[in-house]
Amino acid sequence: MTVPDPVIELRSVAKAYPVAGGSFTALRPTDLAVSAGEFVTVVGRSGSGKTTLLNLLAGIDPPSGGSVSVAGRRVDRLTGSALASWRGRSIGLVFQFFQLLPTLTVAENVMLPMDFCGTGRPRERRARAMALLDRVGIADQAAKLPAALSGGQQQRAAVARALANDAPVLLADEPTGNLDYATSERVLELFAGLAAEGRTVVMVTHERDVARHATRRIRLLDGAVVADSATPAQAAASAGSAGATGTAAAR
Amino acid sequence: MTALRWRKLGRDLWRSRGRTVAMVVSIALSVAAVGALLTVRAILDREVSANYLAGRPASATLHLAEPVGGAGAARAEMLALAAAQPGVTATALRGTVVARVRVDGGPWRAMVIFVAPTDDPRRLAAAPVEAGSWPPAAGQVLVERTALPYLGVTVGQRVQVRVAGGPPAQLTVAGTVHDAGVAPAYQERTVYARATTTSVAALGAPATALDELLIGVGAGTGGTEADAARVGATAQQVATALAAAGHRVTRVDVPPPLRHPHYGQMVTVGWVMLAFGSAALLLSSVLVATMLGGLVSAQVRQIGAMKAVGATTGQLFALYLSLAAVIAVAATALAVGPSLLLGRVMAAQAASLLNLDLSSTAVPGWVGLVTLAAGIVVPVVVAVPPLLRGSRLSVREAIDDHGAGGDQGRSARAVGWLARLPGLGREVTLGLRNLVRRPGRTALTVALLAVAGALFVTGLNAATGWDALVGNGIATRHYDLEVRLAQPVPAETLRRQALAVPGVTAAQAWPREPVSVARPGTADTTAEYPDEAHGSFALLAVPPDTPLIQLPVRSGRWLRPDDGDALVLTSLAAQRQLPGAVVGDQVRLTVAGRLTTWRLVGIVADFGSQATAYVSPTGYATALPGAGTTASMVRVVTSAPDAAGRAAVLDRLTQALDSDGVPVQSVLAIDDLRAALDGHVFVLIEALVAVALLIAVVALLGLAAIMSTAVTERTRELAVMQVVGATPGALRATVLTEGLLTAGLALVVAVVAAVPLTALFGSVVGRSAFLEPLPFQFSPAPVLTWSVVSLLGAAAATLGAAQAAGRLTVRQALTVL
Repeated sequence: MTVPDPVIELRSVAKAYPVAGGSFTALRPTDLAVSAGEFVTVVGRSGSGKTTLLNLLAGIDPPSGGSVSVAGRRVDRLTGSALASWRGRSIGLVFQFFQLLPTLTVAENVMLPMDFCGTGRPRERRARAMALLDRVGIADQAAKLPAALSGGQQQRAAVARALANDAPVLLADEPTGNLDYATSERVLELFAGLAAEGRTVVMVTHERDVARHATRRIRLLDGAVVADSATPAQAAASAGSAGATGTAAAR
Repeated sequence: MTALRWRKLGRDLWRSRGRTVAMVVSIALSVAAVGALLTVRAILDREVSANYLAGRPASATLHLAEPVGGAGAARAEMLALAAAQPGVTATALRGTVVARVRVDGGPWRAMVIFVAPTDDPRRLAAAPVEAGSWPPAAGQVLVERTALPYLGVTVGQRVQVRVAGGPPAQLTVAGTVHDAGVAPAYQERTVYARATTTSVAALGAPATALDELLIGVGAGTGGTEADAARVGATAQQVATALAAAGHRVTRVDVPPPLRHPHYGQMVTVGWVMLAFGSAALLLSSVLVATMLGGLVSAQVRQIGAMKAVGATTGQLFALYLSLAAVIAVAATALAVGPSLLLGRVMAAQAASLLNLDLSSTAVPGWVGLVTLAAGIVVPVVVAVPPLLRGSRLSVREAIDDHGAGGDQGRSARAVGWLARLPGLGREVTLGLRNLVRRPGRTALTVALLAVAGALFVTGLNAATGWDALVGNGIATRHYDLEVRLAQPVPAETLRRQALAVPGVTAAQAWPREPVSVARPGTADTTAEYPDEAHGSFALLAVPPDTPLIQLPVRSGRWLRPDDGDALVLTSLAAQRQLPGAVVGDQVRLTVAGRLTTWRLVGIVADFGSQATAYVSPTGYATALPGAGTTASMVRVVTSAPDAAGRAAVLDRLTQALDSDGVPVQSVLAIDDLRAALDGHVFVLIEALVAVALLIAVVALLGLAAIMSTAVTERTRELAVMQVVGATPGALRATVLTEGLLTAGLALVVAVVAAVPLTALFGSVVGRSAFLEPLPFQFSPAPVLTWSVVSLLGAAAATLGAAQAAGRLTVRQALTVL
């Protein structure tokens, strides 16, 4: 049985920033591999390097050393228009503060990535946007401006936008940071569903109780990975599937 | 650009519609100004030429030593001789008489009568008749139309006219002509009239002498010759032919071909206004670029979001450049119609001032194209750098932006230093800190406002400078009245006759002769216009220590009592009659028909006079033996305290001289000279004030939009201030203070910059129009005016942004992307 190539692969990736009097190491040399269908949470205190890691995956920051491969491309070798184009097609980004454009309707915000990357025919884009909004449960808000939506609705619109170009990888930076518990749960269920479809979801979070939705938890401390383990949910799922397999084998 | 991006662009513009309107209006105003000025130039260039040519002006005038009188056969022979010369397309025999005119016993006014034979076919130098008919009957004249309001008469009214050496005569104003070749009567303080030898016979022989042969010279390609050298050469050929036939030519006048006498001033006004209009367009473009840069800065997070979802730098640059283009196109579309309308109105006003008829106000296509290009291309090109900068922001930079912005290095130190300044007050401290936080933006805003302020102050200073130039010209004259004679008379007698008039306290009588630059082997050639004023050249013999004139020396020296052949030229004479002459040169002049040689010892400024050469009485007597004790001009000082008093003394003086049989040719009060000079420059002054105001409006619109942008950028910060206790009033005061501090800083820079700018501008423009730099004038009034305008305007312009800041709710602010 062959092991599929990881969708995300970091090899000795490090990131340091120049500061007065020297440099500050935000991320120490790190190796990391994430496969398709994984829902990975990256946790740690402020300043542990979580957002730095996410930015490296999204190509927002170039690494100081090592290589970053995401969705089959060496991200650390991409610049300018090539990087923007790759990001639009391969990565869906979800931010803590939603980052929806205020003068575009919700549907138009979802259409924006398709517009910039030229994906799909123009006439089909609105239909796809509506389908995505329906999937995240806010199709009835399509014609409104973001300011008219609640925080949860805006974040779901942002998730729909992140899926506009059918990106295989979703990167989320504190997506539930501004949401109440119930809304957060719905967003996390959404992410879990996307991962179950085979997408790779990496989410940076402060919150401790997202473990039941994620399949893997990576903990960072002072720029280094100090823990990388399956979550209880994943462990239970793996045990369940192993038991079933064993039963089947026994049969 | 896709439909989605156009929608975003349109909604962004609508969302910041106040700022959008400010940008559009500021560009529209300056585009309208540029378009209007180009329209005026285009119309006037065409119509001035058309008007001038409608009068079929002569290319040259040959002054004959002896008038041609007697039977028509002699005239016909001379005309045929001239017409036979190569290049001559038309000929006419005329006379020009300098006279005086008055209405109902009022003051005498200068008059020039262009006299033609009764049977003149009017193929040359024939101003179109507007009222009445040609030829006028005996005892009638046709006057140039601007003379009617100047004299206060109507067609049919009688006026008293007198020529030197002739009896006074009552003539009827039988109609009017439109003579575009002369300046309006009120500007030159002279009535121009047309008559025949028959119609002015009552004025006596001097009025009916035909001693000028006019010729028209054609260009090889058809039309009138525009090359003065070729015209001069043709005229010399005619002079030679006439001399061979026994008709001596004493002088040839070749005025600048096809050019109105005030062409130089019109060109200067045109260029000045176009320069200021272009400066306003550039200023508004830079302001708009700054505002757009601010708008892009306010959308930093949106840029980050768009780049995060796949937008390239090129796509974003195209988006924002389209924004600039939309604003530029909208502004230009708004401006084109008004610019044409305004241009036509201005052209009509200018035409009225120049005594022109506009046969057409059609605007050539190139004006529209240039206006469109200027209005669209200039703002877009100027907007490229800030838009490119904004578009190039990385996702990281964009997402990390927290709205406050600013260089955290040097500005942080400056902010720290400011924090330690005692007694400034919270609003001033915050305002200063905000200015320092974005040094580049502040520097640009201050620079733009300072440029506007400097141009405004310079414009008004130049207007004052024009006025001072006139004032200085008058101030060099320490006399009140001047009387010129048609022939010389004993000088001492003339002086005593003048002193005998009540109200006259001092008098000096000087020889004065028309002169021309001598060129052996040819007839002397001048650039004098037919109006006997523009382009003329005269020689005056004055006592070196005369108190009646004190002319500033530009190079060399003034006359000395022991001077023999020393000659001093006015700047106008040196530049126009003897271009390239320097102190020390030998100068040969024809004076009263004699060849004389002089040594140039100095050049003086004499604004307001014709080109003049000054010599000492000794030198004059040596050059013209027997003429040293005669005079043809007397200048008089009176005890009159005002213009009315001086006019009364002039009237008495004229009457006395007339009674004594002195051949008075013209009279002039210093007040009339002042009025004439003012009439030449007030158009320039008004033009400068108008463009200065335009620049002020553009600058204040820009400040309004910039402050609005600054508030938008700091929305979150202002919301946080509310959270920690700032009242809406406090927020408004902070924003208002920042606007006033910006305007205050710009004011200081503007005043400093205006000093060299005023000097430079005055030098360039003054020399261009009148061959003299404008006196450096830096009066407090323009500075005070700009201070009030800019500070009040800044307060008003900032008010909108300040009100918006005070109205923000915390919730609104914190949810702003």
